[in-house]
Parts: sequence; structure tokens; C-alpha cells
Amino acid sequence: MKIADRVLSVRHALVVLASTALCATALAQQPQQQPQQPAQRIAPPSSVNIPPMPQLSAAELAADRLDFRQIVQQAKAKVFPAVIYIKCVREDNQGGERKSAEVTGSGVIVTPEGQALTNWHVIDKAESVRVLLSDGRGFKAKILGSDKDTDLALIQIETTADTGSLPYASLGDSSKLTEGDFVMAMGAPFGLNRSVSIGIVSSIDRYLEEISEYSLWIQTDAAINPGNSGGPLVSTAGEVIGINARGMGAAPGMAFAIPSETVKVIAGQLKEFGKVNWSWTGLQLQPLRDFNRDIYFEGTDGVIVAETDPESPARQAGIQPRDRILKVNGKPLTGLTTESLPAVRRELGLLAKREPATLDIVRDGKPMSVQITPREKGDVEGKELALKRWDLTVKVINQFDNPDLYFHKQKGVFVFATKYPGNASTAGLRSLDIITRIDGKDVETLADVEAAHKAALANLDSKPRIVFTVLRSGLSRQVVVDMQRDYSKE
Amino acid sequence: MNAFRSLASPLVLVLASTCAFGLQAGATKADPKADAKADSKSEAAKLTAPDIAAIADKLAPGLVRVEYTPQFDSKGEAPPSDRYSFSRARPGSDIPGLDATENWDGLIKEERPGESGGYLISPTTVFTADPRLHPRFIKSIVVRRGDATATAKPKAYLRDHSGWFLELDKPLAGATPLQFDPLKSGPFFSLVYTESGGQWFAAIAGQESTVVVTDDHRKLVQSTPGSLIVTRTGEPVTITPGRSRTADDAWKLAPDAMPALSEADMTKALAALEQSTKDSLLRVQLNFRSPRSGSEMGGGRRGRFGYDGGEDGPALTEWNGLGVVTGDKTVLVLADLKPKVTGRLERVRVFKADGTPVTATFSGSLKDWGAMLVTAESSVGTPVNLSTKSITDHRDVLLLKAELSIRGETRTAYFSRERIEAFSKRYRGDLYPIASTGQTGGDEGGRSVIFDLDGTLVSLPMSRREKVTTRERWGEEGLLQVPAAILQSALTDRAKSIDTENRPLTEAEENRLAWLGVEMQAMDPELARAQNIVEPTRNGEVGGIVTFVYESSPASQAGIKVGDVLLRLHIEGQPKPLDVNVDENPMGNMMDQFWAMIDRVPEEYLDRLPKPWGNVENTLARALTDVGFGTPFTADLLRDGKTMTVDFKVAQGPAHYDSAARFKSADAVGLSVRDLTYEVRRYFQVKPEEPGVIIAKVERGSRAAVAGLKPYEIIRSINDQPIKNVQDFEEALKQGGELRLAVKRMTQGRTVKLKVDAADGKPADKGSGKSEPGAGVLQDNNAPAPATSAP
Repeated sequence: MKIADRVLSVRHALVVLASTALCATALAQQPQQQPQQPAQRIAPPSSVNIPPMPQLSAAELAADRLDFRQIVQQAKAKVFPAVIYIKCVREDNQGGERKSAEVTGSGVIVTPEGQALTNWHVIDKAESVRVLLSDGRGFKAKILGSDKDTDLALIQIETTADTGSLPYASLGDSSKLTEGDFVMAMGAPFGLNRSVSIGIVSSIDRYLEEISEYSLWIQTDAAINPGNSGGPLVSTAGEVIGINARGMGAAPGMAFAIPSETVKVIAGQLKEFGKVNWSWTGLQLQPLRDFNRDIYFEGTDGVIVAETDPESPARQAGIQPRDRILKVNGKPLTGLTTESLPAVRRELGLLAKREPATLDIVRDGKPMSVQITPREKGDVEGKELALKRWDLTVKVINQFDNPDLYFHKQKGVFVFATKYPGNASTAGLRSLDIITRIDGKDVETLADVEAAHKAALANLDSKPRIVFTVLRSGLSRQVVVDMQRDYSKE
Repeated sequence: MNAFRSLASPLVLVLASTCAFGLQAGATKADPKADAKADSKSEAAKLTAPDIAAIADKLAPGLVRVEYTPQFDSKGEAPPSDRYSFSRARPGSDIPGLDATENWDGLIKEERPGESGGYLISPTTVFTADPRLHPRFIKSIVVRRGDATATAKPKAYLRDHSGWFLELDKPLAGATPLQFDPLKSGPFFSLVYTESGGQWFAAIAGQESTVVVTDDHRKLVQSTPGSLIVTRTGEPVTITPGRSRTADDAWKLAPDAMPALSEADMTKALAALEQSTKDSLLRVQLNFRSPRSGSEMGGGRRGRFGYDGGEDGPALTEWNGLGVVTGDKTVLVLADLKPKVTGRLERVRVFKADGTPVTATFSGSLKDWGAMLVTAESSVGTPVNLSTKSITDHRDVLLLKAELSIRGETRTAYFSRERIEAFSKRYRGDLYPIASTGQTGGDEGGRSVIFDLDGTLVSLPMSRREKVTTRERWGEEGLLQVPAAILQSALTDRAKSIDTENRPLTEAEENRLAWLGVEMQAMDPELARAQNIVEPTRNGEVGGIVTFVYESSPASQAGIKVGDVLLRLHIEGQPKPLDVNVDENPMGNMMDQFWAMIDRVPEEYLDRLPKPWGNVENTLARALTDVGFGTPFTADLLRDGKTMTVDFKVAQGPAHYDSAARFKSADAVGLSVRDLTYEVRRYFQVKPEEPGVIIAKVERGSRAAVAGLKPYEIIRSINDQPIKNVQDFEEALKQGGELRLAVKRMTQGRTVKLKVDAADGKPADKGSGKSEPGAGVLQDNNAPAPATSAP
């Protein structure tokens, strides 16, 4: 009874958490792609900037008020035609089999040539993308580039000779926003395209743990619902000052958009390289002041090294936990609070690859200088593969996406999902099992697993049962997958 | 003896005139009277069925029915029923007319009496089978013949056989007492007055159907218990109350000449027993140190379904039960405790007859029986006298029974008569009595101790203890009535009878465990088939696949390799090989995502997070620990499909998470840490030379909680000083000030600052000011196993 209690309690806890977790706002028929977003108790930032109040005369104030409806209408008119409704068919391996699922989201055209911004999570793994303009024209689109860390994507609307001109909106300057500014969210909540909602900026520099790697968020109380993902957050000046990305399931009135200043940094790279080619140093960072945890380090400049990733440039450079980095290549770095960390990471992420950079650090009160050679960060998520007869999907271990699996095996393939009912789940394979051997052969890559599946299918009659060896919580286990049953047979 | 018992089963032949007569060939040769009997046979054979039936007609006026109306006692307790024992000796089963499937409880519900046939031997005396029901459960006894009834009460009890005499309050109208003449000669017939399917009838059979000669030269003739012996002309000769009578004429006694104990003498004997047992059967209270939280689930399977707190439950903290005074200061406490529970035994108190507690010290647990010996500081009562007779001498003889139940502080005792009707051959071929209360002699906390009429202890219910207990616990036997002689030898030859491993331990030793030094995965039928080891693993039912071998463990020293399949262990001194069954982590895939979810677990649940690396304590480790360190055993294992054996000695494992040295800081800091133990190091891949202590608990709202420390994170250093163990941690905290903790989990690390006042540096232990018991002092679990006294 006691243990059962515990399981229930923890499960209950997880359910509660899941429901309050930040959820990506793409409207998907399948469960949300974002696997685990943290429930974050959001506390006030420890540094508060109070902008000077605009000094308006009574007459100006009155005019401002009288104009408001007009301002909103004008602003809307500038951006609304450029808002697009996006429907994608995407590959989905979450059910333990490869399935195509339709996802809907929003976007905004930002160039006259038909380049549109949306979220990474709207078009991730898309096999085809269709867009609908607010004037009723529909097009196909292709993906120019996407970045998981900032949740941004750039797509190209595929026009034809007789398309005519396309409406587009211009990007504003999100750094000029202050809390309390009116903003509008546009898009297709729950697939209801051509929707506008209005609210104010609740916070201009929201830090959300685990999903603020390189960028802070604009928090707004404008209604943002599933389907709004990728749509613009529009200022009263009629400029796109953010891309709406996340809502908070249980808390309407708290939604998050990617600031246009981040968009500007990323979009160029997406256009040029198809991805953001971050540099990787392997530095885990802590701010100087952490109000939440009541931890304060000495000094007001620099940033604290929390830990270095195994086999990372930082570790190779001999950087120690608790070193305070003051400058990189002579440029000051300041991670005063958690809110300032994304900018620091961005700075480090934009260092030249395979070229030594100089870090000025303080260790035990002594200033010193260290050379670090960043590498390409590479993929931040492993590729997936469905193995039909095993009713199993597998994924490549990625150190950023699956650090706990990476801890046990740096190069390998793990069970992404098992189909239920299915041969793998019947055999007792579980998601997050690292597959080390199949039928006596070591496996390390998707190709290995695919070859093993193929071989197993070829020998189905003579050898219908295959032994898998997996690593689960660091311990090896064997399971026997019986392939005789074909769960896809109708 | 066994053979005798099976032959002596009751034989009732309704008007069987021919078929059961005569002597069976094998048995007759031994009987000196074989020739005479042969004559009787031919003579008897001349009688026809109607002739025999006439006998019944002649005796009919002396046949009566006895009706026992049972009741719940004044406390609402039901008469003993048979629900908990499945032995042959059911209460009342040998009362003709009381269906063996019935029990007294059922009769009360059906508002009808239990019925028994009886014989009127004087106008106001009836002989009948003794229902052996405690008087408090008998509402009334009525004797009936036709419509005539009379109220009856006990008059006397046969000493040597089951049967009693009832005294009627008035003669029964129309009844004629049977006139016995023991001098009549055979051939004889036996008559049983009984009921079946609502029909009362007299069943008459030829006598002397089977003669038994035992190896100890007793010559016996089988008879139906409670049958009336009559001549061919229907003249009563005697009653045979037992299942046999002697082959000579010694049995020919008129009922009133049979040795019997009068009701008055019975009352006296019971009163004397009540008095003497006040000083010899005492209440004993055992108190146990509280188990550590978390460690009670150590049993893997056990304890999962709420047995934790029961007798022998791993979390037992108080036990009240029966102690038998066997010496001036020696008390045998009938507590069947597993070594893990005995390990926490802290205090023993024996309560004298007047309720005064006397502190006692533990002297030893019996190896074979669920009991322990304790020695009181001063005299606690009067030792029981143990019967020196052979247990078989008590067969069918009138005995006394003390039924004791101890619930909390209350000792309840009932005294009544008892008979041992049969024996079962059990442990090591010894005979154990089956009493009317059933073989177990107790249920629901009550125990029936059997005495003879002089108050000498005949047998005592104890549970048979199997040392190696596995998950099939439900298959265990309950209690056995252990004869005094067996008890005597256990008390005398302590070198043999005491289990040195089942003893109180210090708190530091409490969670010690034997180890092999392997992690295993359970075998299953599919794997057995895939590896072609279906036969040795009994189709995958037994066996553990070795998935990890710890360095410098017994397994690694013996050359056990990953992939070997351990099948079973043959432990010296244990008759049953111990199958290797692996307890799977009941948490299942909850643990796979442990680190992905820990930051999202609300604070109130953090305390209850199970260890992500699972339990070291499992059925196998527990069994080996119970067997005792140093005991040799041989393991059967499969390597590449081939059977091998490896010799081991049970070795004490190094400290594990639940036994690790620990330190708890002051509440304001709110950190409990433990040493990194071998299984924790494996899980986190921390090498033996690397420093670290693991966080076991973070107090809610404490500074550690605010600083974001979580259970199962590792603290590697404080202020750049490596923290190798909890002592280092304690020292570091004593420094006070702002401490920088280097904290790590899997691949992530961070620095945590904790402000510690000098006062906070003191451990949180109420009163003593020293580390919590078992902490602070680093126990050396790698020390060689303590010497065990060789058997």
C-alpha cells in the first residue's frame, strides 16, 4: 500500500505539473511535440528597470485616448494582411510508429518575396507546408531554416508567376517596449484563422528556466492559444515586435513571444545557413545573483561557471566550476541575474568556431586568462526512425536533448516510443531504454538498427525472436522481441 | 504408529451381518486367540440380518440423544470453529451426529443444537462422547428420548478415553437404562447410535474386525469410538469409548467402573492450573527501536501490502505476547521474529502475575521454533514442569488446556479439558500432537498450552521457523503443538538450538546485509527460450541474469561475469535450495525519467521520492543475511548454457544507502547527507577515490531547500575542500559562515551557497548534541563478519 501510495502521489504530482506546464501553442492533433517543459514558479526579476514616464500634457493625453481605437485599427491594418494560417503534415514517431499528423499554426510574412516567420515547433519534421493568406489565397511553402533553441523558423511561400504581390509586415524594435504597452496577437487560435486579440506587455524580459537558452521572452496577457504559434505580436505602431510561441495551459493571461530583436539575430542565419550554427563551449553558467535560491557571488561583473560539460572545449581548456568569466575576447560579459544569462550564452554562442577565444577569468580571487576553442554545437536533437515490425521508434542520443542518456552512453540509439499494443512493448522495452545490442550485434546508429530490423525481417520464418540488450538506468537488460505477430495487419 | 492410525479409522456398517466379520489374515496370526475367534466367526455368521436387527430393538429404550446448544460467550466470542485449521481433529467431529463439516458457530446461526448419540447407564446417567467445548460456550445440554427430555449437566470425565458422563435432572420417561455385564463372552457386536440425514438409527456391526499388533507389542482391536458392545442376544457388555481396545479382556469394564474424573475434581484441577499458570504463563512486552524511514520497504516484495506493522512485519515496534517461564529467571517468549526485526529489539519486559514488570535481557532465538529465550533481572514466577513422558503416552488421555491470548496489556486465559487424539509426523520425524483445538493450537493471537491433570506441561504451540524465507511465505506452516520433550532439548542444548544470527543489533548494524556483489535481471520464459536454458531455469521461473559485478565483491573474486545466470544457492544447513528470484524494481519506469522530473516535483513530494537506483535489500540479500555471515554455500549458475557451481561464504556487504553513515544538520540548514555507498557510486558513475556525500533529505523551507538542493544530489566539496564522507561534511558545517557547496547530479553541476551559523553546524539530534544514532561514528562495514559460534 505504501509504495502504491507513493507512485500515485508522484504521478498525481506529474499530472498536475503537466497541466500547468508551459505548452507550445502549435495546434496539433497529436500530443505536443515539446516533451518536457518545466513548470516554473516565476518570480520577479531581481533587477528592475523603471523607465521614465512619458511626460504628456493633459491635451496630449486626451488626444492619445481619443485616438486609441484608431491606433489599434491602423496597427492591425498594417500587419493583419501579412498574417498567414499554416497547415503542415508532419512526421510523428511518438506513438511508437511513424505516422503523419497534421499541425496548424500561424505565421507572418516579413518580406515582399514571401518569406514568413513562424515557430520551429509548427514546422518541425514537416513533410509538407501549406499557407493561407488572409485574402484567401493558398500556397505551398518550403522551410528555409529553423532553430529549436529559440523556437523560430523561416519559410518561403512558393509563389507562381501570376501570384501578384504579397502583403508583408515589418519587424519593429522589441527593445523599445515597456511593460504596459498595448500589443495585439494575431493568428489562428484553435484553427480559427484571422483572429486578433489585444493585451499589454506583462514583462519584457521573462526568463523561463530550460527554455531561455539564448533568448528571453516577452510576456503578454493578450490571448494566445494553441494555433496562435508563429503568429505576430504587434505593437500599436503596427510593427511585429514578437513571434507568439507559448501559452501557459492553466493560466490564461500569461503567454510568451520571441522578441523581434532575437528574431533579427536568428532570421538572417536561418536564411543563410538554414539553421543557427551556434558555437559550443560546454560552459554551464550561474548568475552572480540568484534571488530565488538566495545565492550571491562576490562581484558585480562577469558570470559564474557552474560546471563544464564532459569532453567539452571548456573542460579541455581547464575551466573550473566557480571560475568567474569577466570577458570574452576582451568584451565584457555580465551575468548578474538569470535574466542576463541568455545574452551571455548568445555571446558565447556566436564566437568563431575552431578559433581560440580568450576568456578573462577570476579564480580564487586571482585574475587569469584562458584560451578556449569553441566547436560547432551541431544538432540539438537526435534523428528518429520507426521500425515497423518491432512497433518501435528509436532516436539518436543527443547530449543537449537527452543529457541523462548521454551520461550513460555518448553515442547510441534509444527507444523513443513503443506502440501499444505492439511487439516491443509486449517484450518489455520502454521508452528511454538505450539499445546496445540487437541479435548479437552491437548497435550505435540508426543505420545499425535499421539493418538489424531488415535482417530480422528477412529471417522472420527461421528466427522470429530477437534478443535486444538495452541499458536502463545504467544497468544492462535483455529482452526478447517476438516478431511473429503483425500488429499492423488489418 | 502411522499405520495404526490409518487402520483405526471409524468403521460403521449398517446391519452388516457378514462382510466385516472375522480377522484379517496378516493380523490374526499374531493373535493367540485366533482359533477361538474363528469359532465365533462361524457362529456369528449364522445370524441373519433380522436377528441382528432384533438386538437393536432390545436395546432401543437405553439409547438417547444428547443435544448441545452452543452459544457465544459473554464477550461475544464465537465457539472455536475450524476456519483456520484443516486438520482432521475438528471440534466435535467425533460426536456422532455432528456433521464434520459443521462447526459450533454455524449451529448457533442455524438455531439448532449439535447432536450426539448417548447411552443411558442409570436412570439419571448418560454416557456420551465428550464434545470438549469450553463450558462458557454451552448454553444447555438436553437429553432426549422420543418426546421425553431432561436437562443434563457434566458428571464425570473418562480419564483414558474420550467420553463423559452426564447427570440428568430427572429420569427420562419410557427409558430403560442399559444393564452392563462385563463377564459375558463373545461373539460381540458393536452398536453405534447415530444420525445421518435426519434419520436416527442404531448401526450394528460385528466386532473384532481388525486386530493390530504394534511394534511395541501392544495388541489392539479396532473399534468404533463410543460404540456399545453387546452380545449376540443384545446384552450390553461395555462401551468402547476409544478407537481401539486391548485384545485381551481388560477392556471389559462396565462404564461406571471405568476410571473417570468427577466434575468436582475437574473443577479443582482447572482451578489449580489457573493458579499455577498465573506464575508460569506470563505476558511479555517487546519494544523495538523505530525502523528508519525508507528502510521498511527494503524487503522488496514483503511489506508492500501493508503487513509492515504486524507481528513479524518489518516495521514492528511493539509486541505483546506469551512468555513461558522455563527457569527461575528464564522465559521462553513465543515471538516468531525475523532477524531483521529482532535486530531492532531494544527492551524486554516480563510482567509478573501481579502486573509488575521485570526487565529481561535477550538470551537467544530458537533456530527451529518461533520463540526466543530471555533472562529476567530477577525471579518472575514459577517455572512450568515439563512432562518427561513420551508424547504418545498422552494419547486420548484426559488433559487440560490453557488458552491464552494477550492483546496489548490484557492477558486473557481460559481453562478447559483437552485430549490428544492423533499425531502427525513432522519436522525431523518427530510426532506432534493434534489436539481438539486443531494442530495449530491457536489462532488470532490465542495460544493453547496443553497440560496433564497434574499441571505438567505436555505441549506448547510454536511456529516452525524456516531460516531461509523467500517470497513464498504464504506457504509456511502455522503453529505446531510442540511436545515438552522437544522443548526440553531445545532449552538444554542451546549450542544447537540457538540461532546466533537472529539477535538484537546495534543501530549501526541494523541494516547490514550480505552481498554477492552483483546486480541482476529476472529470468523470464522468453529469455530462457532464447538462450536455450529452458530446463535449468524451469522455463524461466528461476534465475537472475548478472547485469553488473561490483569490484572486489565475492562475485568478482569468484569470477562471476556479466551474463552469467545464477540459478540457486545450496546453503549449508538448509534443506531447501534457495532459488534465485530477482525482485524487480516496483517503481518501474518512474525511475527512467527521475532526473528529468525531479525539478518539477512539488516540494511536498520530494521526501517520498524513491531511490532511483533501487533497493540493495532484496529477497536474496535478506535470505543470505538471515543465514548468517560465514556460512558456506554453493551457487549453481549457467555460463553460455553450461551449468557450473561456485563455492562462496556468506559475506557481509559494504555499507549500502540504507545502512550508510549519515549526518543530519540543524533544522534551519535542513540537510541530511549520507556517505556514497557502492551502489550509489555505480549509479552515478563515481569512482571509489572520488569524493562526495549524497543528499538524503532536504527539510522543507530550510535554507538548503531555498538554495534549490534536491534529494539524491551529490555534494562533492565545500569551500573547495573535498567532502569524502559525512564526517568531512560535519566538520565543514562546523566552520560556519557562508559555505560554497559544489553540487552535482549526473552531468550537471553548480555551486550552491549556504549560510551556516556556528550553532547550525551542530547536528540536529535532540538531547545528545551528537550525531544522530548511527551517524557521526563511521561504522566499518568492511570489517570481517563477526565470528559466529560454530554449530
